[in-house]
Amino acid sequence: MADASDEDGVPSRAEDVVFWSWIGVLAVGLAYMIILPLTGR
Amino acid sequence: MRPIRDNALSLAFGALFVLALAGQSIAGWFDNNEQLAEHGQPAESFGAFVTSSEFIVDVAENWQSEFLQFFLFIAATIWLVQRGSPESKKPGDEGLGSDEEQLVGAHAHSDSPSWAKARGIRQMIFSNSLLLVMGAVFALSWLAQSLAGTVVMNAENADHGMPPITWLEYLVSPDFWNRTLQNWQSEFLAVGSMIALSIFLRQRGSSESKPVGAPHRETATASE
Repeated sequence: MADASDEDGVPSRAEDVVFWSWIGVLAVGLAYMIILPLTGR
Repeated sequence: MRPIRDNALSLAFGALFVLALAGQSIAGWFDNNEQLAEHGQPAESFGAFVTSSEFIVDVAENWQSEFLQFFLFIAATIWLVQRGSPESKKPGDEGLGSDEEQLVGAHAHSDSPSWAKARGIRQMIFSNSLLLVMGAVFALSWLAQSLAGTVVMNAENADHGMPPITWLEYLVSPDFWNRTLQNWQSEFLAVGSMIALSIFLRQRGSSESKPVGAPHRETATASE
């Protein structure tokens, strides 16, 4: 079981990495899927 | 190994996403080359396929429907409830909740996010940030599906000696809505099933389930 005291604190660096990695995947994926068809490929 | 254990859920789904997307790109490449061969055309390289609108339209149509699913689920669970489902708030709790319940503004704690302590536009944006981002990803991936779909349809039209269509013409085409609605129907069925089946069914140990011994009529347990 998770230690409840850990969950009340500030997010750790690992959670920052997880969050921004998912944002990055979404941003890169969307940019790729929008820009590439605009080139007519 | 603590950081890996603490983030195992998102790491596992990230790995599954990469594997599934790689699998889709390889299977789609073989399928595309079979269709090219049937039309007497030369095979494409893998690089050419994954940078083509044929690949993108298939990826984007699934992205948009998944993000629409979560966008609607997040929005609907503000105002609608399902008695007995752990996916729902309790009947009577419909709505946005008070500032006190939501720990915003004057009711924020010392360790609350700074935008929850703020007032005005910053608090409003942060209070709706999950819905805003999921909605933006849905809208942008639906846009990507429509742009890539237009390119694919125009390539097929050219093969059949037909004139190209505009993006606006593609938006009202049967192909666009067939691709869109075939994904939407399955998402809505799955979400509805999850809400309804979780009233009477359990999965021991899952955060998506009530405790095994919880009464069927009990709705949310986490907000006690």
